[in-house]
Amino acid sequence: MIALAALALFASPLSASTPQDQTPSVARFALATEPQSFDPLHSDQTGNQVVQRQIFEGLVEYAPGGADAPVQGLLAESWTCSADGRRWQFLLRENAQFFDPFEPPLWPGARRRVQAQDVVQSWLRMADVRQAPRGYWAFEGLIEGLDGWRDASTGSDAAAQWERVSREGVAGLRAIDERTLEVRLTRADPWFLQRLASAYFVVYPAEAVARSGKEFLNQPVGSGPYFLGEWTPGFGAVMQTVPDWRGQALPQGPAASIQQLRFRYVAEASTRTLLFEQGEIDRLPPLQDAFARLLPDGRLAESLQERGVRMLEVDTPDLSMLCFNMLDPDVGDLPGDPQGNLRRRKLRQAIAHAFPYERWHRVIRNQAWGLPATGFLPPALVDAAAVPPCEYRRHDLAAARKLLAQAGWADGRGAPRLRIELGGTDPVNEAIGTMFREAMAQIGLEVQVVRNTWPELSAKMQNGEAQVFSRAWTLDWADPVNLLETFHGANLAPGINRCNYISPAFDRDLDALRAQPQELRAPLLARAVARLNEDLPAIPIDHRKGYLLVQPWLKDVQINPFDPFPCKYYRVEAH
Amino acid sequence: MTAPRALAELSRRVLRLAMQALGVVLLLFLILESGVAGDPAERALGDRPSVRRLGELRVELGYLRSFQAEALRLRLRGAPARLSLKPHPDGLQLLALDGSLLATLPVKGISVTDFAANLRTLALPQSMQIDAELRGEGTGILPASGLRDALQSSQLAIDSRLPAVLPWAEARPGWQRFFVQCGELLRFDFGRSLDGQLVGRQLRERGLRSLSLALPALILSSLLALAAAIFSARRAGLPSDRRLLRLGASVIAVSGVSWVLLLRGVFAAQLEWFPVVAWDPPSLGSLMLPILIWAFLAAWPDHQIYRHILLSESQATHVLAARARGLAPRELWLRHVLRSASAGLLAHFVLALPFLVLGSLILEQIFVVPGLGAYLVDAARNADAAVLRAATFLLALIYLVAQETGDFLSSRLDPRFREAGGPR
Repeated sequence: MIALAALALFASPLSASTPQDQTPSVARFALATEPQSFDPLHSDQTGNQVVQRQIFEGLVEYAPGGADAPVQGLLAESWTCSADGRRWQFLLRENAQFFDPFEPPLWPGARRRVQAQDVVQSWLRMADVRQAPRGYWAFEGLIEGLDGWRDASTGSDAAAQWERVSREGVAGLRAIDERTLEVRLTRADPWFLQRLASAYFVVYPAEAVARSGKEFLNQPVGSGPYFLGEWTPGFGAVMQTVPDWRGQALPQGPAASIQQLRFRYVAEASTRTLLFEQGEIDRLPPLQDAFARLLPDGRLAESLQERGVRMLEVDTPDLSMLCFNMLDPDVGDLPGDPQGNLRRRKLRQAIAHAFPYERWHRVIRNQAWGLPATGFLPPALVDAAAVPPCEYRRHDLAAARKLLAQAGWADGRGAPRLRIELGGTDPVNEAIGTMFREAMAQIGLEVQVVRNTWPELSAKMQNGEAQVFSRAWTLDWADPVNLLETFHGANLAPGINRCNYISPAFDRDLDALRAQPQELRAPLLARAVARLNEDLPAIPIDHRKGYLLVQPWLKDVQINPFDPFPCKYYRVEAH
Repeated sequence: MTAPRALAELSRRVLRLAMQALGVVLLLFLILESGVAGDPAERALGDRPSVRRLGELRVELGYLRSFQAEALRLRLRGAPARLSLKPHPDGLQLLALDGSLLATLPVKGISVTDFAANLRTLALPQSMQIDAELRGEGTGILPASGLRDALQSSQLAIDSRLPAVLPWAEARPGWQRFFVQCGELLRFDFGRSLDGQLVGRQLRERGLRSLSLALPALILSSLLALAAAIFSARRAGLPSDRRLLRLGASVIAVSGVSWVLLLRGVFAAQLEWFPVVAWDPPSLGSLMLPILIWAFLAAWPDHQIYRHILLSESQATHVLAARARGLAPRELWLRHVLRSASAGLLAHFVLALPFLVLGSLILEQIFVVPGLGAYLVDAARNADAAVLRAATFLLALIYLVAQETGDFLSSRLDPRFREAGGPR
């Protein structure tokens, strides 16, 4: 056994590299979520996305410059869009190449030019049910013929079908020539380019997938600025710059100037903090374990200021909500009962007025990690200003009591007993239960606090058995529709509409919104949100806010919530 | 022992091991299939599952033999309303919005076509008439029990505004899954975890990493505990023994996490004698702090157990007789007490070995050692059946082997030990 243990010490893929760590071209990061796979089919997890984005590229990317940055070409040099917004043509860069770091390499010189057919095959693979992809929802119903191939991939002749579609494409996804890709959408989508900038639409060579099979998750081949050097599942990955990568001109020099990226998975928050304090990692989102010490009163501690550490604030594009199950006979909206529905809507509105927003901010968000909501849309979205605020999202006990009386339950007499379902027994969940129960008691409503494990709550939400519960939704791209989808009737539980909100008028508005050009969306968006404000299938509570501490030697760090680690734009100075 | 007897003994032990291993496989199957770990497909898909995605994953995991995403398209006619379909042992239950049962639709022995016809002709209020349209080629000849199998723990909403698509699935029989799993485990083919990695490779690599932390720690803690136990036992009842016992009790009384954080804070954060991360790069030097902490924490409980074993042996008749003969204390302890106690001490040590593979979750987590501890906790949290099955099987196997080895060595060291594992 001693021999085995010794073997484990010496056989580890990580090599001793302490002297290298001191060189200016190494950047070191600690991830709180574990990277598990380099296969883009598994890009639904944050840990996977972060490491995959260094190796794979899509047609476009978010330009450096923060959350409001526009989309710019990446593999695509240019693109055109038809007047109806449905037909897109992308011209690929001539100098974009895949690099294969594994032996023996797939191509002479280990490189091959990226072609339009690679895009077709990569996206078709995401639709192939046999591969168990986890990101197809981003494509679903968007590209002509792709859903058809997805259905065909479940059939008995899927292998033959794959041969055909991977060669010819489908109706809405074809390679016109080596460099030109045509995409035909089922509907115009003003956020199509933002969708393309997400991690689900990356491109890789089919030969690499064929060579590695299921091991492609450990042997990625992409066209990005970095390749996978060392990889220890459960611990981390080391990436090296691709020799003579095509590069991009940046104001401060060539892109991907950092020669080595070291990502470590560090599950324990206090260890990440310690590593940052000792200068072992280059950036840190401080969490509860050290927030008060590192950021007293929300400002950077003096000791950190003296070291030159910088603090960046990150507005997470999300919404934390208190959700109602609209199929619930006590708080929901039932067909054929207009009088009852009116009373229950007033009950929801009363609950919104009685909700302890200030206490939530203090206890759950530590007075720092949340931006109190005024309505359903995160303020970081450009459309947020165009929608009406939710007037019931305001602590006003008098108004709550008045609404309750109008509903026929003055001072809570005869009102149904509410049931809040918690998704854990940790202190945060306990605090949510306690604060809700105590707040509702102030207007005479009785609350039963039900403790569940997260899987239990998840099952209850899926089966429509949870009455009241809290939930957060993080947007995948800066399109408000991405958030409002959680209230669309087509997504009823077990889909993402966990409130089971059914409003044909809201659905019509949302369906129309998807295809509207940006400049014509405001009235429809305002109307859809106004319906939510009045019906209140959920109460908007707040939008989470994060902080990022950056070491003085890590330069050009900009925050983009949709691409949290654009490492090729970073620089490291000697330290 | 003669050669034939030794061979027979060995065969008997191997046979016993094989039978126990089979028993473990059966027990594992019963536990994991009973639903105690939850539905791995539902747990894996998290917050955005649909019946369709659940079905697809269940095919991957071997619960379904085949799955069709579309078999029947259902829609309510008339005024806005909503119903739902829920699986039930007798078929599929049709429920109203308030959860009241409207009908139980049989699925046994009928085809999807007949099921659709039954739905269309159900005695329901006018506003709740259901349109049921077959989808896909050959749907009509499919057995309707597959509609129930497809829904399993989910339910399907039928709405007048939004047509719903009811999928179909063919479940794999339990006995077939058992034999498939049994064959895989006995071939050490553990498949892939939910994150797609090969379970066998992960268990091997992570197990070795856990061992590289745990084995030196166990040896060190055992030596420390033995030294302290000899010291205590020789001074049993004296103030120095009582002080040592009280010190041990105090260390044990404080939670292990607190000790780990405190000692890391002092030696890695304040004094910077050791690195914060023990596996970057891995070496005995970088692992030294967690090894020392482990040895410090594990030595005290072992000290009490070893002291008890030594004290018992020091009161044995042959030891008392030797003492009465005037044997010097040093000789007495070396030649009689320690020798007699060695079988018990060894059994304790050997039986601790299998648990080393698990490592220490806390130490691995805090010192960022990518071992088995966190891997198995995550597998339990995510109901990753492949990992849980493989790990439990391997640990049981290692434990059984360790037990047999301990039993064998003890009987060689001390004739009082027989196969039953205790002195007679």
